[in-house]
Amino acid sequence: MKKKIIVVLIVLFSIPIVNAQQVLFKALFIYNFTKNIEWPTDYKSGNFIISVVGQDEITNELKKLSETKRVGSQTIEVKLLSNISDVPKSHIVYVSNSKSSSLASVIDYYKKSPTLIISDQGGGCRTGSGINFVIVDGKMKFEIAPQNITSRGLHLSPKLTGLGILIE
Amino acid sequence: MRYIIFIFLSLFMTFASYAQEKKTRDFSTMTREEVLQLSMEEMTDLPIEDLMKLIEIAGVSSIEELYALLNKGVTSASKNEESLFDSPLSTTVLNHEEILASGATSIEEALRLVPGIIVREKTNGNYDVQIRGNQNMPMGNMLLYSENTTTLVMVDGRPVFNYGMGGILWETLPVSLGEIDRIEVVRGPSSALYGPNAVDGVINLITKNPTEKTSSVNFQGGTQNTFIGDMSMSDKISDKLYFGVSTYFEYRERNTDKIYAFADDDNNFDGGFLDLETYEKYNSDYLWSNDVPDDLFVNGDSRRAKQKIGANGYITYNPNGNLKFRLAGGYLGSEANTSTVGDNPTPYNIRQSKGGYTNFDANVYGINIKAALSDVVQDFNRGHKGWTQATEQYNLSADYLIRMGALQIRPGISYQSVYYDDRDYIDSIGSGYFNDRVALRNYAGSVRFDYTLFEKIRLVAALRAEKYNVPDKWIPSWQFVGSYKLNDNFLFRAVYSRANQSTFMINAFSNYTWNRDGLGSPEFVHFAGNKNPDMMTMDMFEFGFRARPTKAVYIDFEAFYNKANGFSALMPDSMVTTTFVGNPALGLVNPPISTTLYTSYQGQDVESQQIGASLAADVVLGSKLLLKAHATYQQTVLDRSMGVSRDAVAQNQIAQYYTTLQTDMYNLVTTGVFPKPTYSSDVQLPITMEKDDVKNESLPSFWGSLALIYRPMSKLEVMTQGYYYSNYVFNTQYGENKMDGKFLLNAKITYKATDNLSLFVNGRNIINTETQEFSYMDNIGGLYLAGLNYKF
Repeated sequence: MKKKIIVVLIVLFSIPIVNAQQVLFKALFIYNFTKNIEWPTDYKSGNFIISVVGQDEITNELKKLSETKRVGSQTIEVKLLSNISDVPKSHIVYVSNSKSSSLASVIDYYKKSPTLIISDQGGGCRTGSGINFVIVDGKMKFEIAPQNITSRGLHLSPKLTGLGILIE
Repeated sequence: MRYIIFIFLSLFMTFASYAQEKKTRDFSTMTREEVLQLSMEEMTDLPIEDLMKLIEIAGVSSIEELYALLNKGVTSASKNEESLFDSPLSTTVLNHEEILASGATSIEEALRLVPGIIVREKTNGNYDVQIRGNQNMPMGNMLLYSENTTTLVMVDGRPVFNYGMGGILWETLPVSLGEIDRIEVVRGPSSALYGPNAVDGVINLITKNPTEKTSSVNFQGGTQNTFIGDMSMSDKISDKLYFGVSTYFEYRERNTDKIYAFADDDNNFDGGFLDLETYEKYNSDYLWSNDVPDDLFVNGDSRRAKQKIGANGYITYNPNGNLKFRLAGGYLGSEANTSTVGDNPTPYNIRQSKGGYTNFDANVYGINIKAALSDVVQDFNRGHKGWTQATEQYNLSADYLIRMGALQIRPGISYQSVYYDDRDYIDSIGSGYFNDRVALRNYAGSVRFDYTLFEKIRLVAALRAEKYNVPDKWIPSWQFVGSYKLNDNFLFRAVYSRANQSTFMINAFSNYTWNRDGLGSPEFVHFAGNKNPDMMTMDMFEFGFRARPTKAVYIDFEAFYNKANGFSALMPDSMVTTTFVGNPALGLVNPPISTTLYTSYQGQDVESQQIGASLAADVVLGSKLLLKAHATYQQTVLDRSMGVSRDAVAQNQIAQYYTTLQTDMYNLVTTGVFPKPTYSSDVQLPITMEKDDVKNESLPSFWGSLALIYRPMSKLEVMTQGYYYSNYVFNTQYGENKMDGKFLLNAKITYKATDNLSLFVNGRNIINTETQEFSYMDNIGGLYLAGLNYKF
């Protein structure tokens, strides 16, 4: 009986563990994107700002990362946006799944800025985000639309393009 | 000191070995559990390739996978990618994964997962598919009028509609289940977005467009000699150039080789299934037709239900971010033994089709351009002369999205022409249905405004003006939508829209004389087109509500009211009897009498009003279980419905002069006075016969589906679906046919043997309720299959 209870507990607790790990993976992905994308010179000074739209556990993971990691020489600063216009100079804006309805507005607001828009919804890249998290065959992957990245003045490494699911 | 040196060395060795281990750690050999235990610090400095390896080993939790099914995007509702939750119209998306899991053996069967769509099987693999209904109009007519002629089906945005007589020839769609990335369904009038015939809605079949090297093989086979398969592969030639090829086949048999024959009161035949020999005997003895059944079902091929074989290919070229091109093409041969589009003693009809298509899409500096053509030879009614047509269809369209802050404006233009030509398939001009190369053309200008206020209120207005060559006039269509997003979890929306059918080839250009030699009077029936036909038009009001109270629940509700008029039907203009030809002075004693019924496509006064509602819910019931359910209720009532058949009008016409003709013929014998050369009547039934509040019950008042996707372990998936529709009454010129409701239980069990290979068993209607789903068609029993999906 005791063994059964343990098995059940393992099953029950394994779900949040796996989910937490997914959030961590997304945060690590985002950090890795910064190594494969180059921002213009005027964005290479000051803090490196990652803005998050919508309440999402990723904010905590990104904040943990920012405590130990930097982008080049820039300190990472994570901000939770309640209004899209709160942080005009963002290096990355992550639009969480719960706020996917704001994606088009975010894209429009940052259309002239060297900002990498990352989304987490079906068809995000077709809406205009540069990178979009997807689940394919039970595995987390990312879609990448180079046009939506380079047209904003960002330089993208071919390696990143090759690793993502290309959306033209 | 020695101790200090020893400890130091030990620490050094340990650190060195740890550092060495860390440096050379092979992530590909790690177990999932090990990966899940890794900390952020351990993974932060990994290069992205290694990080991706770890993520692949970890996979996502089963519940995340299920949540992803509740979080889809859609393009068909606004011509722009958006979250399904935000779609301003009644919209459903089925993605490849859901279609595969469902066990659906065809696109039509997969549509049983979509709210508001009812699917009834006619013969193995051939279906009647309707969005909300409004068919069988006007009642009391030919079987053709039961076809769904008010839903526009598209493959990658290219209309694949039957402009010959309206409807969808599903077996001729040049796409297989394995090639489909997703099916997007928009319910409600959508002509303002997609042009004519998007009256009850739009079904857009969107194919996969991989930009990397992939290959796949799907196959299943089972009872009733059913074999379905497809193979595809794609690759990239460079970072800018991709290509893909695919091939598919399908072969199915019915569970009988008997065919149904309509009732014949004159010969005390109540109607029923007959073997071909008996059918041939009755056909000859009872003067049902002067067709030779052997021509209809050669060598007993009445058993074959469906076959298709085809191939597709595409090339995508994206030279830079401002230029994107995709060229696709394919060839398909198909055959379906399903309900007739003609007027034969049997409702069974083999139709055949073969031909190709080309589809070119481009995006040039934001301008979307589409050019498509198809060139297909279709025999709509094998064994009957005049039904073979060389068809060509040309589509051109362009649109451009202008973003002005919260306002989006999408102006567009489009052009379509469709040609039918029967001259190469008839013995002589005059013996065909059109006896000509006939064309339907329409071009349009459209604009769509989409304005979002405070991220909560969305106002959409879509307007389109379409110019037709038949009838020669401009016809507008529109769509007005207002939606209010209370917060990220609740959305309310209201729609008012208008859409119309186009006219069809037979309505516009029929020029056919049916020689009923040996079948009694009338000896001839002439079918004429109408160059100024009414266009069936629908106005709809809809209220919708969506809720996503948690990430595990997605609810979609819609209530609708629509009103449609402008229906047409092939009805008698006049009946003419010729008593003799030549000079009566030659002493003609028994003059030959010949009667011709002249029919044409006439506008009908009838108006249809429908009220209904659909409710759909997707619920993640834990990490292993997803529930997908939908239900629709509707009532349709007709005003000014005549509800009589062509035969009733014709009989009334001949009754106008039959007594006089008889008397005059008697006088010829008794007094030698010759009758008049012709007798005729064009009288129509009095308008006082039209009735209000007549129920159109050809569509069940209720239907719905309850499906469960259960993933007890990572390698196993079980899908069960219960599908139910209530009673309905089919009303055609063959009588009123009360049909029982039906419950179907489908199940598919999939075992993922490896990451690449899945094996499955699949049962459709596993409780084998062997009853008719569609009037006069097959008793549809269980279908049991086994197969595999392989990708690499």
